[in-house]
Amino acid sequence: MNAIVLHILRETALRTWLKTLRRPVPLTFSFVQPLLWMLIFGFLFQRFSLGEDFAGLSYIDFLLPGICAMTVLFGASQAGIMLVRDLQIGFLQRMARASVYPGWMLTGKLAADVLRLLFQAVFIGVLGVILGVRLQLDVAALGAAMAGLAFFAVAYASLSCWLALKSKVQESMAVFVHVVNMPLLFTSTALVPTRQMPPWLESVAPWNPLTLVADGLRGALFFHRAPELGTVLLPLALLAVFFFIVARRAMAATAAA
Amino acid sequence: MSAPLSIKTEQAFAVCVEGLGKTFAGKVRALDGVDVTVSAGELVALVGQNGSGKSTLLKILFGIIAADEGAARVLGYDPRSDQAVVRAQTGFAGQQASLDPEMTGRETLRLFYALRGLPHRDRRRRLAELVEDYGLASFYHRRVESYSGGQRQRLHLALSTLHRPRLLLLDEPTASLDPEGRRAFWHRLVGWREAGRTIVVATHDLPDVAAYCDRLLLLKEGRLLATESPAALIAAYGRARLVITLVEAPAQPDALRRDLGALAGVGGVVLEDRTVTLWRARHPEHGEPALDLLTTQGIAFSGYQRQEPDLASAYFHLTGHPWVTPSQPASRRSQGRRS
Repeated sequence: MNAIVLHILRETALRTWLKTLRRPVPLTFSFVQPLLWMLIFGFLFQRFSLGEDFAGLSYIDFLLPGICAMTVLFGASQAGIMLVRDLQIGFLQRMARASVYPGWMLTGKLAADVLRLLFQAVFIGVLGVILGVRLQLDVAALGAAMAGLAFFAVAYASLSCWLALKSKVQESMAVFVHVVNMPLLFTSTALVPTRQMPPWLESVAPWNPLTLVADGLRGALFFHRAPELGTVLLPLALLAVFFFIVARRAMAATAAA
Repeated sequence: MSAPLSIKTEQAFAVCVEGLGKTFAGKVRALDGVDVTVSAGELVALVGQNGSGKSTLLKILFGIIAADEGAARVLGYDPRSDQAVVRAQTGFAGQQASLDPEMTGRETLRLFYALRGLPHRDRRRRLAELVEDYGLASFYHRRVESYSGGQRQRLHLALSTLHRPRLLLLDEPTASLDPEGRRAFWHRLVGWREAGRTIVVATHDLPDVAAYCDRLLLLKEGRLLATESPAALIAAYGRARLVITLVEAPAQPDALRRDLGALAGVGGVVLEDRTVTLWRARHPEHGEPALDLLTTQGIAFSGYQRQEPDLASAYFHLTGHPWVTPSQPASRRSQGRRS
């Protein structure tokens, strides 16, 4: 990676963070929303039976990794909104035409988004501990689980950016956030364990990437268990690579136009 | 774009276009067989009515859109297939400034400096030069949303020239500038030309084109009407104008129009209420036969104004509106009163 690429990555990431900080309402909401979910669901279902697999855990313990994954899901799904705004004022086209490497411009933006989302997930984890969650932390396992979370963030943020570059309108981003996020959340193990699901959902949930992420975090936070390489990390990494390539191609097409 | 241009042609010109055609939505003919060459180091104005094809031509040259017919070379490269090379050596400023209102001018300059792939070690010096050259110091630390139109335009141009391009393509860059800003802008263009850069600027500022440009490309409905120097166009197509203000509207306007039109050298007469406008290739060296005619016929007038041939009159003549009163101020004017 040469100095020019690093310079592009740094400036585009800085811009992404600056713009995020300059919109305090959405930023605050992105922290408050998962906290509300944790408070409302955590205490509403505190007598919820988790089954033998999670013996010894309270519902709020079980919920915390799911809320961390959900924070990343919702945050990543909105990554494309900034691109739509940039497209509508012609700024993205201008940047893409000026850039010697338009693909790296997207990489810088995604890196900034993913780092922010990981920070938010850690922040929610700390809040969970303050609210009484009892962690049995395994640092190495947590590192692997965070890598899985990062792969998921890259994949979903890239998908959001691809949709933004293709549709160019805010409305399709709103549809994406509302129509895709909710089914993905409720068909995963973020909020309830598989055994408490109806049979049809029980067979669907393991294929949901959010399940892989939430279960990976759960294993690392409470059971000293790292997510498996072949069945969890590799599929998430492949998803990240696939959607990242798709989004980069859309950015290259924007630069050429 | 199809047929390749000759090697000789590519090397001789900064811009070379042959038989360029572009149709939008299958029916709007934006460019129709345009042949254009611009030599290195020229300052060339692209002139024409709105919708005449100026922006389309500039966008094709910058590789933003592809032509349907013909071929184009910019600095010897195809602007579509060699897009990256062309854009690295060309600056383009579109009609819209396209700036991020939430960023400051300084942040915007830093971002584009990085995107351009320029060496990081020179950044401070280069940005300081741009701040100095474009007079950005008083506002560039503020967010763009607080800028005036002229300040936005200055940042827009600074971004377009940040990488010291060999060729500049500017689309109506003076639209939101005040007179001082416009003059400074044209002086800057002349400075760029003197530094060896080539500039193609689409504009409606005809007096400025006459004052500063080497050549003018006049487009009408996608066709190229003229590629001369402003002086040559004025000499060939410019029309002198005599405007006479009558004391009262003439009793027989048609007869007066006919008699004035019959005077030697008069190309057209427009009579509107109490104002008579005569068009001709040049004013007579001695006397004023039109005024003598009015006096002979007992028609009183309160004043008159003579305007020498200018670029605006040549422009209107070439675009098929020979008797339109130019809106731009006269370059040279003489006035008199007689009754």
